[in-house]
Amino acid sequence: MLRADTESVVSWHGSFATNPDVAAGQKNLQALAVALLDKGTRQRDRFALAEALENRGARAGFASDGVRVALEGRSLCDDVPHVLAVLTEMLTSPAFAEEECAKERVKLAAGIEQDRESTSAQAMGALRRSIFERRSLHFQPDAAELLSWLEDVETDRVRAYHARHFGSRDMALAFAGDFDPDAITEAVEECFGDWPGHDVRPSHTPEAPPTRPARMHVHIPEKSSLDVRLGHALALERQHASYLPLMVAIHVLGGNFSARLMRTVRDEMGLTYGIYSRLAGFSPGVHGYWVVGVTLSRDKLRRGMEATLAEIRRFVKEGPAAEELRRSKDTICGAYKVGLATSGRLAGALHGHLKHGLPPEYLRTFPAQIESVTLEQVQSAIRMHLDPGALHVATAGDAGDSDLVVPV
Amino acid sequence: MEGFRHAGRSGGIDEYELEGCGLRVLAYNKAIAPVVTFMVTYLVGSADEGAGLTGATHFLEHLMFKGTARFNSRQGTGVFSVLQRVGAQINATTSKDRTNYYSTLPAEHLSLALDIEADRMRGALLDEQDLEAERTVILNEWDRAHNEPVGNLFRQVWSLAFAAHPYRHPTLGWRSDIEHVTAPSLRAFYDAYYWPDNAVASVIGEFDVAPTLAMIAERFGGLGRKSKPPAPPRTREPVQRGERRMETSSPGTVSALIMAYKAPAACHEDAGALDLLAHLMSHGKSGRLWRRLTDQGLTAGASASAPHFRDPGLFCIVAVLVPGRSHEEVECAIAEVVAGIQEEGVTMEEVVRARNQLRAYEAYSRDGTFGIAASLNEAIAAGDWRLYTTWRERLGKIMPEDVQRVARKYLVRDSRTVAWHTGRGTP
Repeated sequence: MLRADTESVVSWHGSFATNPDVAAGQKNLQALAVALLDKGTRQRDRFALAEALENRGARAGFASDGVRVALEGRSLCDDVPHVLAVLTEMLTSPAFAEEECAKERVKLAAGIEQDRESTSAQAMGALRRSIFERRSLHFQPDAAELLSWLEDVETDRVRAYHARHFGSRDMALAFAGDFDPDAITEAVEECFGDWPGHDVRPSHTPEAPPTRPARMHVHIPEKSSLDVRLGHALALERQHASYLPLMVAIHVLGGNFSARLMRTVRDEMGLTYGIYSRLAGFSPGVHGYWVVGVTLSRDKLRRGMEATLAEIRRFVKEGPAAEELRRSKDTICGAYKVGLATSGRLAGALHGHLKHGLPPEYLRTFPAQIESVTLEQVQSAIRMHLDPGALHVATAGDAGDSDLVVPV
Repeated sequence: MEGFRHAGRSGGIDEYELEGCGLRVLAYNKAIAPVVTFMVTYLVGSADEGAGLTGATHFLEHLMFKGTARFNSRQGTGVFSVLQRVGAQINATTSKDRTNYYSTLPAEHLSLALDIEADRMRGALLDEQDLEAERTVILNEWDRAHNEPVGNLFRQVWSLAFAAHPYRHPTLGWRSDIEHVTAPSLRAFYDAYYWPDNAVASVIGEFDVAPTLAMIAERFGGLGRKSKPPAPPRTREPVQRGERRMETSSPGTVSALIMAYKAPAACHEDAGALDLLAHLMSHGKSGRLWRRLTDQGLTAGASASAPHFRDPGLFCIVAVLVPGRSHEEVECAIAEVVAGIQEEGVTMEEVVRARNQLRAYEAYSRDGTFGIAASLNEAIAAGDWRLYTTWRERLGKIMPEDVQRVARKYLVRDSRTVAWHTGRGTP
């Protein structure tokens, strides 16, 4: 808990481990179960639940987050006990009514159809299918497979998944804002004190087995701006000693408007509106991956992809200059301070550290840890973890007759 | 404060005018965290562009980051580089009535943001070479925006609903205008609008008022005033006398529908009731659109929004259809929701719920400096920054009969534009 002068506003972020069996497709089951939590409990229907939150202007929701389920929200401080009680009711006694499940399946299917027309969603999905094997936590099935699964899934399977995987196992909750700590502690005890944990152990392997770099293309007609994603798996977890040096390296490459990729491919060459590089997928106990994203109009596809790859290769070969590193470290530390200026971001950062097993004081010590990262550590992390030759390339959009893309 | 005229106070915000150059300053001292947001809102938007120059406001917004003689990426002192180095979150946005440039940064670096904004208010290079490099960047932004079918439909609805008023232009501009715009024409646009007396500077967060105003006076005071004659008045939209309809299609499976009604400007006395009407219709799972459309499996999502512009705009209802559902049945269901409010009104319970929600959302918007700046920015653009500070009080006075009255007055067939988009399927 972290108190801040936010004029009676309280924000919270939390999560608990569910450990779905990824190979058995339980990630989808978890997503459907989460979507149904606010569609009725054994005590109240969906309208009464909505009114219980909305009458007080509370914003609260759940999300399926890999091997965990996340909850986040905010309300006025006096309403926190009431809102937490409603969320607990949703988590512990959802009705999973047949009719609601059928409606939610239709709604999720509509969302998948919408995503089919999104070049960014399709490029990212193709990249994850290319890099990861089906049993990996990061593998993403394609739209046809998801639609087919939704068509067949039975509500009993959702009920069984909830009964087996939902509970207080590894639960972390962080609050920030203007509140009485004793009142929050009492409310959390009241709501979650008796919620038992489950005994399902993680079944996924943390590391991604190596896959051969490949090119994939999702054709979406009449989308003249293509999304391109390049990436490969990384052999490290969030707690690894190389994580922070690698994070700083990735920031130098593509972390913001003054990073290498933006400076060259956008500002100097005018080839794209947006380009970035980032680390992704670092769930607790799971290795993450590296991704570079760029949007390119069809007539700039070849030059844009070549320029992006050339800049990546140059960066990996030469590493950052000392001044670039200095600038990125200053930026990360300054942005960290600015970024924690709202209760939502404070609670989000605190929860992020907690779920990775980092102590609460990490919130305070993070800038000093970034400051202490050396050029040698960054260069070593780049050599150890980044390999342009291992990059998978996924594109989505209408490439016309370009020979740069390979349809899937 | 020396050199400033105190022009008013509302909701904890003080307004000052810098004598001489006419820059207005809004100061909101609020110590949430050791952070401050500095924003300059220029009272120029895409509605101020003439034929052949659509997209100029947005193009200029991009070129403002290419720098000045002092802050220039060729010298290693580019705007992004200098500000992001101290951790600033910076950007700019363009809309129909305004363009804003902002940075949220550690409070001790506020002077840096002031330096940059004052410097580029009159000192932008607008270099030919920079313009050419940025043209393709903007064309990619245009292509990206046009990949999205519902966004496309929304832009086309404004173009159909407005026959004469420049709200018919998309903010990004028409593609051929972006392809052909020249440096001299952008220079002329810049010289017409980028002056202290056509801008409002907002400072929000942890800062000392007197020294901050002194810094503002030092940096902006000598920039002069707009010497050219005022920009020509915007064309007034003739009264619409009948429903307009359009249909579009594209490959894919997304189908959508928009019903848009002519509605008054943000400063109009009915604007608050229209806000509440939109909220009651579309907010959350207790909203009428969710209950009638999404909960019944007709739409994947449906929303309503009231306009917040300087001139009359559009009250829009947007629905994304669930595959297999027809436009006819969704349009009928929306018409039923509208007719229900017009004929039977709304309940006091709905209004009280909306007030409670809006009270909470106002508190949320004050959690952090940027949220305040973003809301203030739209009020400035709409013509009166006090629309932000008095919003809650105005909404608190709206009764169920006000909501019913504005629904009857504005959501009428003759002022309506209806657009259907159909996904032709995946090949």
